[in-house]
Amino acid sequence: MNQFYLFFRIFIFPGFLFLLVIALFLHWLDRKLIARFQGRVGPPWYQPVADLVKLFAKEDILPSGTNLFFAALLPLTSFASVLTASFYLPIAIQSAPSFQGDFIVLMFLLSIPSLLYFLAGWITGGVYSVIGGNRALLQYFSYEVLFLLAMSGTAIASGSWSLADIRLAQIKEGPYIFPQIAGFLLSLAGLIGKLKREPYDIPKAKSEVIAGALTEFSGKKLALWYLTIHLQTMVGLSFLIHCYFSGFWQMNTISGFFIFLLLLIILQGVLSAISAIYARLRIDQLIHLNWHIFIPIALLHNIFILLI
Amino acid sequence: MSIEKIVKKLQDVLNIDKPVTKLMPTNEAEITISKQHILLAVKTILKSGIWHLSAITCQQLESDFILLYHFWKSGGLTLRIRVDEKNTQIDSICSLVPGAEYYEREAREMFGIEFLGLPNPIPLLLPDDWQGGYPMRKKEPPTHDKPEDNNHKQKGKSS
Amino acid sequence: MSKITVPIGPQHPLLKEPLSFLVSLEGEKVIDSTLRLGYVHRGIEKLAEQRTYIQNAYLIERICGICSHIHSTTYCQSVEALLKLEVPKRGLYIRMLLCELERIHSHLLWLGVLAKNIGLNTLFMYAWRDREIVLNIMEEISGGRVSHAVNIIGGVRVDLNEKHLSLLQKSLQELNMRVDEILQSIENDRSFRARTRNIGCLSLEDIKRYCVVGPVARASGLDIDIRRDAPYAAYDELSFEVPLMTEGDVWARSILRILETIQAIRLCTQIIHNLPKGPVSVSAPRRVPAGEVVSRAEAPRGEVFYYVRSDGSQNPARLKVRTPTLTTLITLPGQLKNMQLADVSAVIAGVDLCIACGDR
Repeated sequence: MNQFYLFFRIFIFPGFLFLLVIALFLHWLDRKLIARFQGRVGPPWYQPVADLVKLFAKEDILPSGTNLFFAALLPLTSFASVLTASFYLPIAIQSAPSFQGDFIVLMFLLSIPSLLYFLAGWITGGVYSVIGGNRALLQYFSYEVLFLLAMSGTAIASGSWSLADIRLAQIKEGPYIFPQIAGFLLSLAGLIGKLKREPYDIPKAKSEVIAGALTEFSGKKLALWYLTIHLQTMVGLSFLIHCYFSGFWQMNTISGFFIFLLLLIILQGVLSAISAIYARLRIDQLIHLNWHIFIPIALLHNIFILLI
Repeated sequence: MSIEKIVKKLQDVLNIDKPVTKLMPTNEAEITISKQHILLAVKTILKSGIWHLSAITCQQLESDFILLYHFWKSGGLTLRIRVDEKNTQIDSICSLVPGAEYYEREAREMFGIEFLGLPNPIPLLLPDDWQGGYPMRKKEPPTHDKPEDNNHKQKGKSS
Repeated sequence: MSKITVPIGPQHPLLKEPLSFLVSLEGEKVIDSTLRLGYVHRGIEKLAEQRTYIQNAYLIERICGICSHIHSTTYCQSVEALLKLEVPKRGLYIRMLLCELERIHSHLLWLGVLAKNIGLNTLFMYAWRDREIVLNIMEEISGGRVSHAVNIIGGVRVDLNEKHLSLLQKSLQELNMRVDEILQSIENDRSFRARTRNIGCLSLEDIKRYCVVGPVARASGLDIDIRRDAPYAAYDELSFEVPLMTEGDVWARSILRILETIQAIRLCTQIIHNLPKGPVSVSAPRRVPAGEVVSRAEAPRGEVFYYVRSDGSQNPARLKVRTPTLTTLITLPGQLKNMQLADVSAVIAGVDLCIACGDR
């Protein structure tokens, strides 16, 4: 019975299926909102599911000379790492027990897909994949650092690297969004860079490198890459909500879950609005923005929190 | 300088006493020169303040080729040059007017006129492995690469 | 760093039409590029020699989809000059109306393509949504959204009635408002400026050397416009401004084209208010007397040049078409030197290529 309960918790609720449903819902919301901003109608609610089903049914071909084992391993590993990350993150429902340092583990697990994205470009060869992969790596070095630095503000303020402690500190002192609004905005920028969304989608800019590192992928492998991106969005946003907005809801309750979902929807709306408004930035403008403006502000912000 | 003045200057420089004809519509002047004077004529035109070359038209009249260089500046000036079928060489004006490159390349691939000094003598519009001769010449019928399988397969017939 | 060659085309999301553009990169910097045309070469000039003048009016419209009406206008003008026909004023005005509507539609299309290439998808959607207004008008007038078949030798084959005029009035007002909004949003958009400022600069010297025409030339300071300098149709009876800018980069070309769109809307409004009464065409004989004629018009991309020679028969002896895209294509490798790969998309979109026109 215990094993069945474990299976249920891992794969159905609050595990795999549950997370997948929320991730696809957020993805649909993103596409619908961007469409509405652009004056279009947007896809129906089942579109993300339909896309995945279609991809699973497609033929899976790769250029000759590609190492097939690694070409299959990369999407699986990135998907697995994001799923593991999602277990440690409480989405209003505690799944795995928190421990000291799980903040860093979560960061690490969330950054593996970006690294594997770059490797995917190298493995499949081809000009577009390699250029897309190179750009993704450059962006990874910049925006992961920003994300870590900005989010660390909350860990520093709570005095611990454990997610549960961050949450407890916010219940005592109030949500971190108010004193650390600058940190929140910088984390949001870092998240957009990590997820390679507009305006930071230069690694997969359609008008230049077709589809970047994923140009040659198709079928099930591409479906897994897309699932990784959807889950990464959801986990990233949940991470943000947990670190900045904890204290607004009770753990393991229905009302808590709905408040969490509402916050997710609002943040996804902010991301969609930013995607619709700005043009894509060039890679050098991106790097300049990051290292000359965002990182110094993040450093100053963290020093300020340390001193207070 | 107005078009009339430039035409007068050309006539003086090149020692032409033939009258200047008029292309339609009425503000287009046309002057016939011989092919060895092309560079000198274009230099004179450029010095007089006309820099815009609209096009280089090539056409075949009986067996010889006629090249028309259409210049324009608030009025049109066309240079008419006759090129023999036996000797289709003429100086390229790309050193004076770099914008003429595409027009000369097209005349070269379509009619076979050789422009001496053309910077990039590769086909402009025809494929690199074109074997069909010079398409725009009158005597040659328009050839095209016949695809391997020209007969439409009937339904039910085995390949 | 090693050199990579990125093939842009013949099939590429960046290009509307096939064009082979090989860009040699070192890192992200472009060091060289080569261009190859001819993927949509259909041999229009040779085909024209085997068809009658009336059949050619049908053929010429199919040189290009975006500027089809201006091609047929120039062609019909040339043949009418050979025939010494005088087209009635009302016919000329309707011709001009469609020319200007086509200019608006072409510039809005181009704006969408530029926005999409630099990643500003929202502007792409808005520009193409506004373009639908123009396409609807053109469909009401001529029956076709893109290919109108309005010109015949001797005039036009459609007439405007009260319903058309009121629809035009309403739509042009709406269009005016929308294009003004677009202009304001582009002028103040920082990300748009960041992607288009100082990209693909062409100096006035380069423009003159390469004989460039159209908005690309006007954005670098060369003040030419066939509608004003050698008026055809009835342009000498209308008043309009020719916008001019001097920066010569993609940003200047963008602003210039939108200003031209506003001027085109202004011209359309003048046309529908001053439409003369009378017939719209005269009948034209089939045989064209021998002669040669040169005709120019201002397409959305610049000066389009036609040369027609007739030998007295029903078919033209020579029809030469020179489209404005050929003049801008030749400047592309020079514009891309020392640019980054990400700027290639902005530059290629900025010159507004119409490869079908260039290849014929």
